[in-house]
Amino acid sequence: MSLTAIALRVLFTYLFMLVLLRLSGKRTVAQGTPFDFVVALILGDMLDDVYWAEVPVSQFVVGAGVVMLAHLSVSCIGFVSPAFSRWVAGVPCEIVREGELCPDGMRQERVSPHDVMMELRQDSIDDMREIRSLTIETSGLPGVLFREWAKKAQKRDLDRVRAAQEEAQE
Amino acid sequence: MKAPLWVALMVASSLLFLYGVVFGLGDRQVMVAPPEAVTEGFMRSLAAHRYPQALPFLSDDLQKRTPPGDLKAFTRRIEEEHGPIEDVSGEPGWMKGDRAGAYAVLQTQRANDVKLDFQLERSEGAWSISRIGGRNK
Amino acid sequence: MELQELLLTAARGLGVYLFMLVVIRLLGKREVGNFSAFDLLVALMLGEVVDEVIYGDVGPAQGAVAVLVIALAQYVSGWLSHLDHGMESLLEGKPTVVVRNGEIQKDGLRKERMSPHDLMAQLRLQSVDDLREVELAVIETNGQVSAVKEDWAEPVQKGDLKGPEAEQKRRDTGGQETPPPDKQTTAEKQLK
Repeated sequence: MSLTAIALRVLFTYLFMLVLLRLSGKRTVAQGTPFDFVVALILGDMLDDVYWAEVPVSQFVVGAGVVMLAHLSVSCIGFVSPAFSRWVAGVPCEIVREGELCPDGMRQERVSPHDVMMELRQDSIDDMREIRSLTIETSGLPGVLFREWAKKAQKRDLDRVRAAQEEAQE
Repeated sequence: MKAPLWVALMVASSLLFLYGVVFGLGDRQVMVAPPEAVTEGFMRSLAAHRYPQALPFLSDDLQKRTPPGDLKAFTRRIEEEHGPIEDVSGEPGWMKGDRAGAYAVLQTQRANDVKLDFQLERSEGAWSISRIGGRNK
Repeated sequence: MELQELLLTAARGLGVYLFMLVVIRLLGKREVGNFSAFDLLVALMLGEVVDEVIYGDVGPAQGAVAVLVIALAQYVSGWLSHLDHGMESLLEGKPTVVVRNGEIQKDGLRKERMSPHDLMAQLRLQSVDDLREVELAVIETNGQVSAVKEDWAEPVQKGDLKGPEAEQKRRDTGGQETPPPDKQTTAEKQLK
């Protein structure tokens, strides 16, 4: 098989995918839903058959185009109808609230207590009581909110930090 | 919100571009599968015993003349003579206008480099097998 | 390149997309959101199958069966992990302690086949440059390294300063600085 032919097919599909993805406006994995990721995998997988001419380029264009078209249409419908969006992407689900595990949330996300502990350790948290809320977002990634007293001291607290310092020195 | 429209537009314009390249400029091996890819695909399908998958590689004419059992018999014969097919690679032959010749080189259990030749013809931009070897099968 | 082929491809593309939409939705976020190497592999497997169906190399029924079996297996193992810790250890493994109170745990590293050099690199990703600050570092079941700092190395919290937050902290923790084992992510029982 001609090397130039391979190079040209690779180039064409690369440009095609680039434009397609830019048009879709999708950015990071975290901002998306799990399905965004799966769609990206599907599209990527479709590419290699084209490189080795196992499939004509036109078939790839139509296949990838239709998948992307369907995906974007679903996003648009989701934008217009929140109910639909909730069905497709799911809702954020709380698994820890005010230092306590939420069994309902955990059952919904099929998460075990060990998974929760692991999640907290990954955020360098060793005390669950510090948590006001741990939520699994629609992207599948977790978001942590701390209780007031567990939040890091901020610059506006500087006076109080100094006061504590002075006290400690006495 | 207009994104789906843009994508549809892109697909349409890409297809137009491809049609232009294939039918206008007469591309025969870049945006469409070249003859050697067709022969390789055909023999790979046969090696996997997926006869319905192999059929579309043949030209319409040849497909009409090939009863279902023929592909199976053809594969059987090769396997009997050389052993089960382990790997296939397509090799280009010659190309002139809308006709071409190409090969499929088989690695089988008992033999190496078994070379089968095919004749192909191009219709509607795509290559398909018009004749297998010297026989009118 | 003929129109009929292309239309068929378009139809298959749409069908596959809708099917996958339902499957992924049923599987839920856990399967994809914060995944380990295996979860990624499963996502690739699904993508691979689906791709053959779009190109027409595999019939829709066959593709559907393959996808459903993979999805079902993932779903069931997810449920089992949720329900029973023993199953969870079997399916996902257990975390391995690699640093304890500033000391590298050699047997932990050996078990994970990780060199001290790699470990330090991973810790740097967690913004740790001084091992002594680390109370516990663990290689989690999803392969990531998590590091929990010693109390004195932790950033100052609002609850450490005088004021309303400290009051709230006293109320929430019942005056106990160290959390009970149930709430302590680094407790022995949490790592079993």
